[in-house]
Amino acid sequence: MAEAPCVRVRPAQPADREFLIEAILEAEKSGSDRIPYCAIFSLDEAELRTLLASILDEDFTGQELCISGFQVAEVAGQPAGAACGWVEGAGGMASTLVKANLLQHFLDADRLADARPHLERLAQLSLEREPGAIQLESIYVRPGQRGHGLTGRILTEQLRVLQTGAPHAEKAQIILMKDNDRALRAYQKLGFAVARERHSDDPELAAILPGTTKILMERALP
Amino acid sequence: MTQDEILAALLEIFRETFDDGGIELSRTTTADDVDGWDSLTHIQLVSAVEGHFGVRFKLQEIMKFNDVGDLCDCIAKHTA
Repeated sequence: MAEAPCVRVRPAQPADREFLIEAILEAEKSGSDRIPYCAIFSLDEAELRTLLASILDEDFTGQELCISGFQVAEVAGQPAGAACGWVEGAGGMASTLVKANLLQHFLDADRLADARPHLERLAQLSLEREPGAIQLESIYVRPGQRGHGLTGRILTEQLRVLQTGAPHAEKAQIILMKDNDRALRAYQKLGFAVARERHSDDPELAAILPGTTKILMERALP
Repeated sequence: MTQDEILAALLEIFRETFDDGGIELSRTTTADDVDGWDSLTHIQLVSAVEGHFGVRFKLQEIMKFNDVGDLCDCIAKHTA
């Protein structure tokens, strides 16, 4: 594996917002061309980008749509990869509820009502994050920068930063689609193993999501 | 509205949102105490509370709702 030149991993800044939106969207696609947020909330991609920009500007920690939760890898001064991280429930509220508050606040009532059947179906694949465990989400490396170990650099820095603030955290967790082979292999190389899995045969879910099996991978922390 | 009146109204909203007529509420009730309190029911609950009381919570307010008591206090502030 060739070493990437001039790599620097740093905390994300507000100026990174557009790149972080790219990271969130590409991570949501999970190697496919489907963006679940668009299907669930009846949004086109431009509307979703506007929504994500509004949410990121609020910068509420404890969930994956938060600028200050991201670490960004720069290659030759340009953003090349990113990942978000947090300690589940550290602020007293589960990440799913923090994100629900944001969506409830920024989406109109009609879209939320239309989303209800989709959200009910999504519950079939729900994997509960462990309170106190470090969570890693929206992990992304631009296609032209893959194969240089950037994912490992970013996640290692995320774990270092988050463990500094939560020295008693015992494990790190990542939730992803089982079909995302490239990501699965990358996380296995970093010591993560599949701990839980949920599958659904619901054809409606298959039309919304990039896959029908979700997995939760874990790694013990030193 | 008094705190008791707010709590009584919330009880009806909770029972309807969670489709559970047996739910009991107190100021110390949290999400962990109510079966089925997930992201979907949370969205429905906040929307229903805002609609019933005719209020619009600020994000900074709802992010600090650690229990039903916090919700009662915020409603009281908005409806005073």
